[in-house]
Amino acid sequence: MKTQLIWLKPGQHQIETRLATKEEQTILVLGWFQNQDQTQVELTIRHQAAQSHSQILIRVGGQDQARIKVQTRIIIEPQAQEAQAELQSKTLLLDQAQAQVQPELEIKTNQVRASHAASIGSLDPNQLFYLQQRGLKPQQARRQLIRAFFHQGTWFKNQSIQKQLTNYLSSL
Amino acid sequence: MNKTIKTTGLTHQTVVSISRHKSEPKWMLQRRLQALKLFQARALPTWGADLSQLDFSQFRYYRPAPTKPQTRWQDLPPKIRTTFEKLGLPQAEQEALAGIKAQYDSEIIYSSLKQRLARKGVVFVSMEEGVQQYPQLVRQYFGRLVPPQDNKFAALNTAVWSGGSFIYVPPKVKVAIPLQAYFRINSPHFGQFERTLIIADEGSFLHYIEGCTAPTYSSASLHAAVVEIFVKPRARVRYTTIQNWSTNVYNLVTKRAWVEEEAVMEWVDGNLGSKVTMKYPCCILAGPKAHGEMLSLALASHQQHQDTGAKMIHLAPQTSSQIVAKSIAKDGGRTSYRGLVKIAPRAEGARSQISCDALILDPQSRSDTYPLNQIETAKAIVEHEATVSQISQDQLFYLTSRGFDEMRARALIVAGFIQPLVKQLPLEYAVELNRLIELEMEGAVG
Repeated sequence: MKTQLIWLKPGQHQIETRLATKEEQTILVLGWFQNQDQTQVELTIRHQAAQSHSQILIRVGGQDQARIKVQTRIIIEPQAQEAQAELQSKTLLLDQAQAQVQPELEIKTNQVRASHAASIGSLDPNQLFYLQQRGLKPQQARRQLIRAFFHQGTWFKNQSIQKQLTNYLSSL
Repeated sequence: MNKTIKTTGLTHQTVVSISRHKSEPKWMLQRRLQALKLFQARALPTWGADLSQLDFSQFRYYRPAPTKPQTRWQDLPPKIRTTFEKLGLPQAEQEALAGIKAQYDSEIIYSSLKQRLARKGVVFVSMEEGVQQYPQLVRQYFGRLVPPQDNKFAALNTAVWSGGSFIYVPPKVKVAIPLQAYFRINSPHFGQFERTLIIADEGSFLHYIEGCTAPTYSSASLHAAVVEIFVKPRARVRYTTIQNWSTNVYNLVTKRAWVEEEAVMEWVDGNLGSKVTMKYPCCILAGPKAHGEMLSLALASHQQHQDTGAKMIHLAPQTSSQIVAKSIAKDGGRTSYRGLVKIAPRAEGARSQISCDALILDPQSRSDTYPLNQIETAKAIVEHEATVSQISQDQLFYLTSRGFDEMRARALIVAGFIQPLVKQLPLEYAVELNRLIELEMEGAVG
C-alpha cells in the first residue's frame, strides 16, 4: 500500500493520481491557513483498472480571513471493475474563514463501491469550555483542539507521517 | 373554439397570439415579450446534461384544449374521460381528495374545487384564472422568485407559459387534504410550459401534488415549467412531484421557494421518465429558523439522463436544511446529483445535512455526484455524504436463500432502497410508484 502525504500551502494545487490494476493508495491532504491565505486544491483520482483501491483523507482548516477551496473528483472508468474508493473530508473553520468544498464522484460501472463524506464546521463550544474550565487559556484551548482535529482517526500509525505532523502542528 | 393560431416555432408573433388568445392584460403580454428577448439572447447551458439535440423551432408552444374549463366530471368529452380514467382520476375523486385540476394538453379542461376549501378562503385556480381574477396578487408575486433573467428556460417559460396552478392559502388555514394537479402531454411536437405560483400565508399549511404521465412519441417534446412558492412566517408547504414523462421529453424545470421565519418547505420529487431531466428545486431560507427539505428519487434507464439535485441557500441565522437524494441507474442510463448548499455570512448557527445514495445495476450505467458546499461563516455545520454501489450480494443471497427468485429479490432490494421517499407519499402515489419501479425492474437481472 502506497501512502502519499500532501501538505497544502496557500496558492493553487492540482493533483492527479491514476490507479492501475490492484493498486492501493492512501492519500492524506492536510493544511492549515491563516490571515489572508487563499488556497485552491483540485484533486483527481482516476481508477483506470480493475480492483484498484483508493482512500483519501482530507483535513483542512483555517482561521482569520482564510479562503479554502477543495475540489475532489473520484472517477471510476468502465474497465475498473471491483474498484473501491473512499473519501473522507473534514474542514474546520474559525473566525471569518470561508470554505468551498466540492466532493465529486463519477462512476461509470457497477461492480464498485465508492463513497464520500464531507463535513464542515467549527470547534465544539463544549470542548472549548471544558478545556478552559480545566485551566487552559482560551487561545491554548483553541490550539489544543486544532491539533486534535488533525490527529483524528487512526491513519497516522506511519511513524514518519506522525513526525511530520507533530512538527507542523507545533509551528502553528 | 379552435381558432388557428400560429403556435409552432418561437417568434414575437407566437407570444402575442398566445397572450391574445388568453385575453391577458397588457402587463402580462409585456412580461412575456421581455422574457422572449432574454430567452433569445441567452445561450444554452453548457454544464449538466446534453441539450445539443434541442431545436426550439420544432416545438408547438401553445395548443388550446378542445373544450372550455368544466367543473363537472360527467360533462367531460368521453374520449378525454377515458384517458383520465386510465390515470386513475375518478378514483382519486371518490377518495375525497381535494379539487382536481386535470390538464389535457395545455389548458385546464376539468376543474373542481371542493366548497369547503373555498369557504376557508383558499384559492385554487389555473394560472390563467389567477391572472384574470386575482391580478393584484399575481402581478405582485409572478416572476419575483424566478425572474426571466434567471436562466434560459425560466425566460422561455415566462414568454410562453400556459396552464399550471395559482394557489393562495390565507393565514392560519390548514388545508388538510392534498391539492392535486394531474396533467398529461399527448400531442407530438408539443411543449408544456406550466407556471405555478403558490402563496402560503402566515401559519398556514398546504400539500400540493403534481403527477404527470405522458405517452411515447417519436419526436422530442419539451417541458419547461416554473414553480414559485412563497412560504410566509410559520407556514408549511410540501410540494410532491411524481414525474413519469415518456422517454423523448426534455424536462427542464425551475422550482424555487422563499421560506420565511420559522416556516418549513418540503420538496418531494420523483423523476422516473423523460429523456433528459434537469431539475434542482431550491429553498431560499430567508427568515430565522426557516427549514428546507428535499427528498428526491431519480431512475434512469436506457438513454436517459437524470440530472437532478437541490439547492439550499441559507441567508438567516439558525436555518436548517436536509437533502436526501436517491438514484438508480440501469440499462445504460445515467443519474447525476448536482447540488448546492450555501451558507451566507449572516446565517450563524445554520445546519445542513446532505445524503446521496446511488445504485448502479449494470456495467453500462453511470452515476455522478456533483455537490458544491459554500460556507461563509465559521458558525455553521454542513455534513455531506454520498455512496455509489451495486445491489449488495449479501442481501441478494439472503433473499434468494429464503426462496425468492433473483428478479423478485432485486425488486425487493430496490423497493427497500427507495422506501424513505415512498413513505412520504400519499398512499395511492406510493402504490403507483412501487408498481412503476417493479415494472422497471422487470428484466433487469444482469
